[in-house]
Order: sequence, then structure tokens, then C-alpha cells
Amino acid sequence: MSGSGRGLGVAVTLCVRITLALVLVAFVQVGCGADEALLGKDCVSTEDQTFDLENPDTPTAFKIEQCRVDVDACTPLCTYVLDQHSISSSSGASACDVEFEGAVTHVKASYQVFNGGPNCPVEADNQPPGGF
Amino acid sequence: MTKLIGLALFAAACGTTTKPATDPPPTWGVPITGGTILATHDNQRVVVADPDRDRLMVVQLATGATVEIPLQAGDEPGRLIEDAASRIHVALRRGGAVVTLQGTDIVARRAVCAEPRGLAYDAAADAIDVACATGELVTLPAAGGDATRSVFVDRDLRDVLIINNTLYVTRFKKAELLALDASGTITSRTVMPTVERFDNSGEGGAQPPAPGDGGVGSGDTTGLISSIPAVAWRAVALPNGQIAVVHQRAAQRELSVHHGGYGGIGCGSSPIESTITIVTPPNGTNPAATFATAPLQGALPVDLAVSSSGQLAVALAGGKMITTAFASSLAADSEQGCKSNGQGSGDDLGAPTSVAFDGNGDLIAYYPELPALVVTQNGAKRTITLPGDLGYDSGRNMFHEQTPSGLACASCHPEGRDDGLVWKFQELGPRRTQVLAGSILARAPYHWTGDQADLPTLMDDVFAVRMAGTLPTNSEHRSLGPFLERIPAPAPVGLANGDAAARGKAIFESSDTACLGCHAGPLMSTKQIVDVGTGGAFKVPSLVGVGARAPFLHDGCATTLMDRFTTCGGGDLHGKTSQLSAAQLSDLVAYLETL
Repeated sequence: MSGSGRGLGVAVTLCVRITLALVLVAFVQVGCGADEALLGKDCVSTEDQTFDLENPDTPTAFKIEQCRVDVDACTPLCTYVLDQHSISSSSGASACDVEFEGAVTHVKASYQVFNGGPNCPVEADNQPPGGF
Repeated sequence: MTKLIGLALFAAACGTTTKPATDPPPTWGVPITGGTILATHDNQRVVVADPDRDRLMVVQLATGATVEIPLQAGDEPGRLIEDAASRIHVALRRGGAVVTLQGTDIVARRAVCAEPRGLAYDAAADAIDVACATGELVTLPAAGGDATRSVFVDRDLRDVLIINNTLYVTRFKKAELLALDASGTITSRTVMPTVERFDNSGEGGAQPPAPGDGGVGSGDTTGLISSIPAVAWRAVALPNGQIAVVHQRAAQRELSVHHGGYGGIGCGSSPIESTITIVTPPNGTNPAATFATAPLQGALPVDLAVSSSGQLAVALAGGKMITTAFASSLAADSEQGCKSNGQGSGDDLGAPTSVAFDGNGDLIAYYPELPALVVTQNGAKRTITLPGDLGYDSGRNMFHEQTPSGLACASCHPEGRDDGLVWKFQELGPRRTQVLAGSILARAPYHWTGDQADLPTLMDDVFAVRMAGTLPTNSEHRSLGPFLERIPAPAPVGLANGDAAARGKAIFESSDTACLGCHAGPLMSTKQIVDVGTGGAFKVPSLVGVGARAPFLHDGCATTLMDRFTTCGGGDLHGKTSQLSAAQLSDLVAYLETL
């Protein structure tokens, strides 16, 4: 990032962090409620990863541009970025927050992981898509 | 005070970042048709027809340097062909014309028919043959000038091929291959093969026998269902004189309206299969065509290319992948239908809509949304980013997206129209696929009984429930309608100024026949739900473009428009036409075909 000054950069970071924290709290509250009801709070936990994408490859840039024009296209971007970083989750990104700052795209992806506790169900293998 | 300064700094900092847009962008693009790029004979250029942006592009393969050639708004360029003088001829699907490109200049624009589709270059005559969805085959001198011939062949024509001096044309929905003589008369009609297979849908159909139970290979055909040919997206000539066709097949089993009722996860469970069929046309030795047919993985096989060495590449737009194989290595069809043919891969650039090989055997794929070409040379990929803004429409994406049922919306509604099939539903009985094109938003409520109030309701039910897709997003809910709304109704197939049509119009508008009681207004439908003796109460369908959507009525009982007045159709509960003579009925049909 090549911001106009360090103070501004700190403020941006503060802004992003506060915003993301608020979003995260909201998602965690909603998400955990559902998870606990279904699986028990010890079975699934939510992890977060933040990626600052600069000079992305063409497929990633394509998905970034889709997300830029349509917030509903951002979750596929988050899932794609998780996949690109070999982060496995049961169902892709469970929450996704994206901000654009100059040439940098800040992608914060939340995803769920199974803890595999003694009373937890076994995670099902991913089924192949329909086809022949 | 310090807090206020902090807040001001905070606000200023926030202003340097932007968030994704929350309102979907303006609607973009047209339905995927496939087959819109051409690698030139000199191995140096690729010509791209961009139907979504109404332009042509000439791309230098070595450098990626691109020249844009704008067309008229709404032209929708499609198939391309190169002649012996290196001119490129491009069919304008909505423009109703063929444009001719010399270098990067348009040197001619010639009207041909309402809906030009496929093109072929006849080297012997130095002419271009154009197949039209409205049924005509039009011949143009390659060097310019008026059409030298226009003959009616059959409706819904698609691709044109010239092999050993014989002209072949395909029909889109019927998946037929017609051979024509020099005068344009049909000399043979070859339908892609029907395959018998076990029903793997889990929808109550028979399952393939377990190993050792007999069944497969034992001659026991109990429980087999037919998988019939449909929707021939693309046909190309192979170097050895055979013809390769990528098309769909429709499993003749019942569908259901419950979750996953169009097919479950797993091989052989989708009601529509992507298929490649290699046809050996009849010749002096073999009086009948022979076939080799094999299933492909992935929905919407919209384009097919063949290299000089015989390698095949198929663009599967729904599956967002490209499969390559040699015809000789395609795994033959089997009852279980679980073969995986070829090597498939995607480039993560959206749906590929077109493929081509250059003379070196390098594979070129076109991705219209970015837009970009991906060139694969000896396994290494190179992306050529083309000029133009991002093309994005979540409704368009959704329409072409393969769901876990193995289907996309466009599988049954290719190009926003229909597959010409009658599907059987456990709960509803037979239902002829309805055409989406043509003022879709004004036609609510939807489905034959009008039970779907609006498009979002329909999307939630059909896409997320029956097709087992994800619940549509807010953006998809808001975008699909505007995308579909821009697709015009099929062009009339009849002559509007014909005498018969004029007489038929008078009959239609006569109080004696009472047609206008239900088929009135711009849509030619009052949208009432009425029982006209056809087996239940159904919403009055629009008659706009009716001539292009045989078979007719909800169960497809009328193969032709005339059949609707004779074989089935509700008799005098459905208008009052029993008093009409055969000649008057013929006039009435002539009029309906002009709508």
C-alpha cells in the first residue's frame, strides 16, 4: 500500500478494523446461534482470515471486479481466495467483507471448521457435482 | 474536542476506501449461443464476434494487439467463416444480416433473413451459405453482391457444413442433420441417436443392477429409460469427412416439483445429458448414417472445435469448463451413463462460450465477461485480455449456471427460448417447456397454470428447490428479469403480407371465432386462467412468436398449428373454429405464423 501518509494509513486500518469487528460480531452472533442449535457449540468454530490482494492473477482480478459491482458476488470471491490459499472449510466462506483501497483489495473471509469433538457428527465428504 | 477531531479523521480515512456496490449493475449481455470465434487460416489472428457488446475484434495471436470493429446496437454477431480471399463473414443473429470483413474493415453488410445462424464457405462456388432459424438457406457471393438463392429448408436451422460437395444443415431443437442436394431439397434427415439407459435419478426409476445381478451386458433391458436427442448447439466437420455434433439428450423419466426433483447429485441422474455424437453420413457404401455417441460432463455444450489432427474441444458453459479429447478415445455410451469423457478444465474466468484451434493445434477459448482469450499451447496457458469493460449480470450468470441437478436454466431454455420438449411431472402431468423470450415481465404469472406469481417466486421454487441450486441472492432476484426481458420473441416464420395471412387475420379477429376473447392485446393474451377443454385450467399463452414453438398446448399434443384445430385443442371450447373450412383453417394458421 502506498498511502499518502502514515497517519492516514493508521486511521484507515483503524476504520477497517472497527468495521470488520462490528461485522464479525454480527456474523458470529447469527452464525453461532445456528451452529449451536444444530451441532453444539463445541463442534464448529468460525475462523477469520484477511487477505490484502495487490496485483492479483487474472481469475482473481475477474472475481474482484465482479464483487466491486455487486456485493452479492463477494462471497464467491472470498471462497475462491480461501481455496487459493488451501484453506479448507465445509461450505466456503460463511461471511465475507471486502473493501477496495486504491490498487489493493482487502478481503476478510470467515469460514467454519469442524472441531471434531467426541459428540460431534462426522463431517461428510464433499459430493461431486451432478454429471455423468 | 479531541473526540471530534478523532471522528473527523476517522471519517476522512473511511472515505479512502470503497465498498462493493449494493445495487446490481445495469443488465448486460445476451444468452450464450456459442461458436463466436474463428482462428484465421494464416495462424496469426483470431476474429472474435462479441454478441454481448455488438462488436467484432481482430486479435493478433502473437502480440495480443486487438482492433475493435463496432457494429450496430442489437446486431448480436454470431458464427463466422473465412473465405479463400481471407474475408471474414459474420452472421448477425438479431441484425438479420451478414457483414463481411476485409482485414479490419467492414466491406459489406447484406440482409439475409430475420434470424441468421450458421455459415459455410462453398469454395467451389466462392459463395457463403447462411442457415436461418426461420428456415431459409440463403446463398451469397463471397466477393459481394446480392443473394443468389434463398430456399426454404425447414425451421430452426442452425449450422451449415459442406463435406464432399454435399451441403448439410442441422436443426437446433430437434438435433437433426439434414443433407441437401444442389437445389436445396432435403435428401436425408438424420436424427441424433436415442440411447437407452438406466435411471440413476433416485426418483423412483429403475437402478442399474449391482455387479453380478445380470442386467448390463446380459441383454436384460428391464427398467431402461430412453434418452432422446435435443438441442444441437454446434456441429463441425471432422478432417475425415465425419460430422461431430454437441447436443443435449433428455431422459424420458418423470420429474418432480419437490427438492431435487429435476435430478439428484451423482452420475446419470440429471434429466439432461451433454453429449457428443460423431456422425458418419450416408455414402455410396453405407446407405444409412452411423453414429458413435458419448456423454460429456458439464451442462450447456455450446461450442465445439476440431484441430487439423482431429482433436476435439467442447466448451461447456454451464460447467464453466472445456473438455478436450480425440474422437477415437471417447468412451462409448453405456447404459449407466457414468463415463467421463476427455480431459476437462476451467480457467476461472466465467463461462467459456467459444473454442477454436489454430493451424498449429493451439486451443483458443473465449470468455466474454472479462473479456479474454485463453490460448493453450503445449499445455501452457496464456491469457489475452481484450478491450472492454467487465461484463457482469448476476441474472445472466444464474441463467447459465449449472446446479447440482446437472442442469442450468438454459438447458431447457436454450438462448432464452425453449427446448421443444414435453416433460412429464409426477404431480402435474405433461408440461411443454415454455418460451421465456418476448416480454417476459409482462407475462406474469408464470407456468402453465399461472401458479408462480412473479419471477423471484419462480426462481426460488425452480432454481433453489427443483434444481437443488442455492437460494437466489437479492441481486439475482433483481437481475434475471431485466436480462430476460431484453430477449426478443422469436421472429415470425410466416409472410406478414401474404394473402392467406390477411384472410386468416380477418378470421382470427372475427366475432364468430372469438379468438380475441382471450388472445388480445400486445401479448395476444389476457393472461386469464381458463379451461378451454384441453385438460385443465391454464393461463392463456401469448401468441407472439407462436409459429416457432411447436409442439403446441401444455401437453404438446398438437405437433403443428393445424393439429391444434384438428387433432387436439379443445374443439369449440377453445375459440369456435369447427365451422371453418380446411382452407380457412389454413389461412388462420398462415396468420398465426406471422405473429
